[in-house]
Amino acid sequence: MHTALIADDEAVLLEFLKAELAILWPELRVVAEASNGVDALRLIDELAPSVAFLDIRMPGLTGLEVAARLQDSPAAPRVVFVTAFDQYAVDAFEREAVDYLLKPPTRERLEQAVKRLQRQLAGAGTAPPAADLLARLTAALAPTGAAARLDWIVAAHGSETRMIAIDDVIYFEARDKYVSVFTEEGESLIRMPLKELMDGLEPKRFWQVHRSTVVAVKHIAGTTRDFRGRTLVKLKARPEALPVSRGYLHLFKQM
Amino acid sequence: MTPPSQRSGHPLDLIPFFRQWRPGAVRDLLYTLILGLGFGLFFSALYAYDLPRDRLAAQLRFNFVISICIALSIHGLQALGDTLLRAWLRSARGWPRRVYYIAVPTAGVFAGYFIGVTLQDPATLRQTIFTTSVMLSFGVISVLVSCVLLFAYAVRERELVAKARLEAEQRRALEAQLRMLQAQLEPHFLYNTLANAVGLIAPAPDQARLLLERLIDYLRATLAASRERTAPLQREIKVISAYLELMKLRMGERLRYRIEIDDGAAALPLPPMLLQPLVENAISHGLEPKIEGGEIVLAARTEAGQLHVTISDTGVGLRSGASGKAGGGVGLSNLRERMAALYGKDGGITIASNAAGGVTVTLRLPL
Repeated sequence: MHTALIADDEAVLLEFLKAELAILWPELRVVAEASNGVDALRLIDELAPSVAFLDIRMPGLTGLEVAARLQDSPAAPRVVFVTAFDQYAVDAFEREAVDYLLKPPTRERLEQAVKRLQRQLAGAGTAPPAADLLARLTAALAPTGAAARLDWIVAAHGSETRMIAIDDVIYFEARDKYVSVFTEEGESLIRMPLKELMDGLEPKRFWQVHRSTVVAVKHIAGTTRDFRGRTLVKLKARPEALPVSRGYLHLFKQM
Repeated sequence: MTPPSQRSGHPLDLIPFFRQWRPGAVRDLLYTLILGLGFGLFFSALYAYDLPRDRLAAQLRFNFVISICIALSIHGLQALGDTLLRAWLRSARGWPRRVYYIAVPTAGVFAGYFIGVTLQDPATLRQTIFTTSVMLSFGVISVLVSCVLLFAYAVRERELVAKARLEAEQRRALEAQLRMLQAQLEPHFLYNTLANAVGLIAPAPDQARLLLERLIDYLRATLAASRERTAPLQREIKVISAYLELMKLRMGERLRYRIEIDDGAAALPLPPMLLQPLVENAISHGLEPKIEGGEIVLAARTEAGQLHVTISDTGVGLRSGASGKAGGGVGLSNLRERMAALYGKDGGITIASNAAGGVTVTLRLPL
């Protein structure tokens, strides 16, 4: 007899799927229910069900993460992903020919999925989703444009952690292992190399003026020279002036 | 936005009729000839209208050659100056720039006049050009005309900047409204809620009915809000309550919430749907990813002439060091943009970790 696990953080949806399965596949015994990814993984390890219905968005671990961690398990179940409407997910599942159900699953659609599962389980059992396929799915479902521009940074400000809008940043200054962020409200710290940070900044809006300094162009008031003839950047909203290295002087030629 | 300070095109572009052709070397030269003929006609009408007929033709020809020479000289000098001083002109503002745009045409007038007279009647050069009255009248006229042109340019530039700013503002407002509506009808939220309703119909029809009623409240309030500029805080609180009740039906024990509004704050006007995205963020990025869920507290009070609204959660919190694309970045940027457009420096938003390990968002709005 075949056994199943259902994982969904919303109890109503879990119960609904269980009730529908009881009608369409009475021989299937639901041996475990989980309301988060961590429980789902543990229960699958313990009970080795033949089928797992995994919600995509779950606390702890997502459905995709649960499936990925089952790769090495000898008794990995057949997986059906369950998701609310999400065009990215649907496209990705269609492309990779992975079993999935849309919430709320209609009876026809669930019947199809059940028949396919029964066929697969009756056969020699095709392999569960491969690691590279899951990696592709995870990438397809990641928030789009994540690699592109940085809009907010999370930084330590005194004893608390703050989200700072990139628009509020006046300049960044690299220290030993972290970067200081200066806004009108003072200094905060981010643990990230300046180089990596700069990958997320728009070159038009932020200029590197020194090996360790990156300034927001809109906060530049002008330039001045000190007694040694070095060029300094004056800022609109902060009193300090920032030295410009020789290699970056060309930025100010056209100002 | 940078104003279109770069002078481009031709003085005739100040007249709308002449703007229908694209700027270019040939067109500009043609415009200069038209302008020259125009000035020739104008000054001929001033000085030569009472001449006897036999001398009129000769005088007219003389005038037109002179004015064409002047027009071409100005054109040439301006082109030369603009090319040689390109770098300086890009940054020059105020008086230096104005003096340049008066001096070049004035020099062009004298140069053109000199050339024109030399070409036609070099013998009279001494008496027609090197006299105080000619120098003075030509100088005064060309400075005056240059000043008028400068003024017209300034007016037109200001109009263009104002128009561009207005268009950008309108576009931004429209985009913000569209994004707001899209965010409210986020498919994941909508389909999950409907899936819950379907799931409840058989086992708990009363619950299903309750859920759909809260959804209807929420959608109705959302659509109403998208048509208004401001609404009292208590109305926004009603939308948020409908949303939180609905989410509570879905999340059960994993969601608890409290709303604490000071009596003085309830009736204050607020742009609609300003707070709701923050509550949604607190759920989807704070509580939903946390296995045991948590609590959301929404508080509003007036303080030092400002309305302070805080939304605190006990969720998973900010991931320190991580770059903040995650955590509802798009919704937050949208909110920041709206706040800046509405209140400028008078409003503010801070997003910080709290003692419970979650996130507290504080909005400060002028009363």
